[in-house]
Amino acid sequence: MNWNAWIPLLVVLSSLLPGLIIFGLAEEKVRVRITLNLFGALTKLILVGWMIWGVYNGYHYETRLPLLPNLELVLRAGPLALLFVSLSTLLWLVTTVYAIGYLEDSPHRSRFFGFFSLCVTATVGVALAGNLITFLLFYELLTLATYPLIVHRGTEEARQAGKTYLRYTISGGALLLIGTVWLYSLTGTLEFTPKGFLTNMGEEHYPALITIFTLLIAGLGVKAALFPLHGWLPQAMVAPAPVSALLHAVAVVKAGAFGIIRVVYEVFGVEFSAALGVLTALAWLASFTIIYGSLRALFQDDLKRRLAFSTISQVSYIALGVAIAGPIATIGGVVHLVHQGLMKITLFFCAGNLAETLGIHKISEMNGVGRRMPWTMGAFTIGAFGMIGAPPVAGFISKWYLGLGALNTGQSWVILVLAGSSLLNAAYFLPILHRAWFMPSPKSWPHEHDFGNKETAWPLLLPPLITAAIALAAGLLVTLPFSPLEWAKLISVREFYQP
Amino acid sequence: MNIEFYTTTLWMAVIWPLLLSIPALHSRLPWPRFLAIIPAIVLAATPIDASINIPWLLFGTGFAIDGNIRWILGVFVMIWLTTATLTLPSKEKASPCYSTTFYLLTLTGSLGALLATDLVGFFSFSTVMSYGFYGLFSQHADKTQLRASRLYLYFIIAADIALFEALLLVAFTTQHFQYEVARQAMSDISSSPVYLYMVLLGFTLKAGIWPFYAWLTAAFNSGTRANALMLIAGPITISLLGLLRWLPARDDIYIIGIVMQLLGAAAISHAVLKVFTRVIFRQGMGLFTTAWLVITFTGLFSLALGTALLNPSLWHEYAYIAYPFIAAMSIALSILILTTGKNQKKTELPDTTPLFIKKIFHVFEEWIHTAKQLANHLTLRSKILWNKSGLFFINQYQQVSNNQKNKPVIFDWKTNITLFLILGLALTWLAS
Repeated sequence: MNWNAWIPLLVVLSSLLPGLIIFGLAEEKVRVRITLNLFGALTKLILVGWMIWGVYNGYHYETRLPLLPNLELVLRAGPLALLFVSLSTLLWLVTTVYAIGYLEDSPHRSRFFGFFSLCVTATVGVALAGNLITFLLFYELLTLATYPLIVHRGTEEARQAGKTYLRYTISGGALLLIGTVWLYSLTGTLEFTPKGFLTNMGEEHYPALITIFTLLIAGLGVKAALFPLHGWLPQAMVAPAPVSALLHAVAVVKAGAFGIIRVVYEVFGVEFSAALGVLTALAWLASFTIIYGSLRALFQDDLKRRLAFSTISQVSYIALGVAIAGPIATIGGVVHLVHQGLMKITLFFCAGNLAETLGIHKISEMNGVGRRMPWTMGAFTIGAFGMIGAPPVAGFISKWYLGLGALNTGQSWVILVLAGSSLLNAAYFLPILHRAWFMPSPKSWPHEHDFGNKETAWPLLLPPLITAAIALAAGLLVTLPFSPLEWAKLISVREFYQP
Repeated sequence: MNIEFYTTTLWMAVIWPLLLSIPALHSRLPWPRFLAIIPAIVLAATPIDASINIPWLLFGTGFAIDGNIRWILGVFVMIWLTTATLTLPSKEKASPCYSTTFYLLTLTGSLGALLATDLVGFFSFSTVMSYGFYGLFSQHADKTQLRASRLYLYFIIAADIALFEALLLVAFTTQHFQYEVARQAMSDISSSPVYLYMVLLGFTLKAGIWPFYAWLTAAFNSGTRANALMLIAGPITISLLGLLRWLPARDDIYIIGIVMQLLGAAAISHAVLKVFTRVIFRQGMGLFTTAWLVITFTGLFSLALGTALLNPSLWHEYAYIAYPFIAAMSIALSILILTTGKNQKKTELPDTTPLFIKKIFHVFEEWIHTAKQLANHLTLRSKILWNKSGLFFINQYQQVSNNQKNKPVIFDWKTNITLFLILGLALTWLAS
């Protein structure tokens, strides 16, 4: 095993080991905990940066460890894996800084940061998984690592939300397991392959394969919050803001969407999936979820709930891009994995800032808050415009490629879905901005904390500003090397649609 | 003058006001609104044609200036200097910081759109301009002004969606977004006329061309002179310019040409009647009347475009007049705004918006409320049908407590997952 073979494993361990140490730390060891968290996050970032450079230049990074007879635990850093890994690594660092500020003086921080690190370990494992069984292992670990974060506050509401989350995700995991075992019994392999490993299957297997596809998508659709499997997501909003940010932008929801990409492209293969007819069904379902999520978001007064329904809608863009098929739509779907993460994490950080600084939880309480917290609301504005798909924020690029991909594959109806979704996004985001910037402020805020002459604490303010700036840069500087779009193009050309 | 200095100025003309729009920066500088225009003044004053390509920005955009653009830029610069003078900090009501941000964003958007060499650049900057102007419009707003700004917002959202679809069609047809190349590609008869409809709808909404003028009259009626001037040296002119740059000349869609001519004629007739009535009843010439003059000008433009669509060869012959027309229109309207709006008091001007327009206003403003009512109505009806259907064994899942006893959840997790599996299989078999 050479040095390159160890790097994927080291990336996983870089958050796992600090996490395990943090579990054993006493509450008052704040500095040690912060140092461990930041050390893990920075180490991971450096390793991922190294692999990005290597993969771009044609190097191969793969760790293989024996797991079961004829099945190995495979960690492989392909272009698609690295896109997701770099997103989760970067956002983990930012979220760690935010969480340090957010949870200052709150109880059970060692437990929180321990599971937080475990959650990122699982996400990175999901991203780097080189076969379906490795994917499944980390996917289930993610479920278990996220549950304590959702119920962290320990309230009755949090426990109920956690219970609902477990019911959904464990059921989803069971379906994924059934699908995986069935698939293995049919094919004898679970190795992710750029154009899928089922292309040689005869027509007699089609009914079984369609059922397996449905089982796998149902298992992944729970975490990706596809309709009607989305019920856990709005309830999980009781979790602290850094957890919500993690759920919506980095870990859980993204793991589901990423899994859908893997299953369609690297298990079934896009052409074989189209031949089975499963992509049309997935496109309809994703489109319905897009509109449904937006419609539900429109009627929420609770800011985090509105953002949660927005996630349900926005994550389905990824599934839609996959289902439309064709190289251009694939670029749109894959790049939205990153763009949505950047924009949504910004929005959740801002929602957390409003709650933590002024005690604002509802949209109806946000009148004039832009004048009180201009930087936070400035970042929120960028995120919101990105969600609408307005240029030059990153969301515009995703919608551009999805729309163009739909036209290229002759599925013009998708344009209507995108237009309708943009309209609905505008309908539920712009009133928030209108309230924040143009309505008069109330005499007092629901629960104001004193941060001196500062808008809020620096660890709370800096992360949304950074992510908003990256979301803006991802929309403006799209043609630069290593931009999310350029990387998505590389994935599409090198992995899925190579001549 | 050194050409490198000039291309840098071209680039700075757009970036500099954008940088200054950051509150933390402009609040520390004296007269940021004047400072922001300096590179644009240099550009307008120097008779050198130049261009710069920025391959790393958006899909590869660029900025350029030639004789036609310089004319318009010169007029814009004069108007912006005037608005900057009109809105010196001592004359503002409160929180000048955000007014300046929105002002500078409008300025950046207008400059970027004016100088952009391609459709994507134009679209992106015109979007920045539109939302910037919406912010400017809504600052210190009274009830009427807020109402108008909301309507303006609805229109720009619809316009941006229409223009985005148009852009997608261009991208589908050709990989190049330069005006000439795109226009040429889209004038191919085999190309879909949908592009044309989208461009017309988008810019008609953005410019407030008749019959989408309701927000415009309200903006002039209750707005400030500075905002009215920014409207001229921003959304209206840039949108007319957009029509010139985006619309292909093609003769297979004469019906659109006739419709545009009719709209133009209707706009002019309506405006003349309005102004005439005002003169007869001696109601005075305020910004309200100027708004109708804007509608007359945009109506004239609409008439000319209609003619162009009916007879492309005629358009090719006389298209060069369009730029001076836009520049002249901007100057004339600005002078009118400065002279007639000086002593205007908001209360002096009655709201003379026709009843049917008010109804349209109402529908636009209340559409979310209407949608909610409709959704509630549909939910209620489907609930009754559901209960009548006798599927009570499923109904037992409808009430899931989850600490929200009285909040019904349509289905619980078991039903959801089962439903998904059945739905997935059914859809897949149908599709295959």
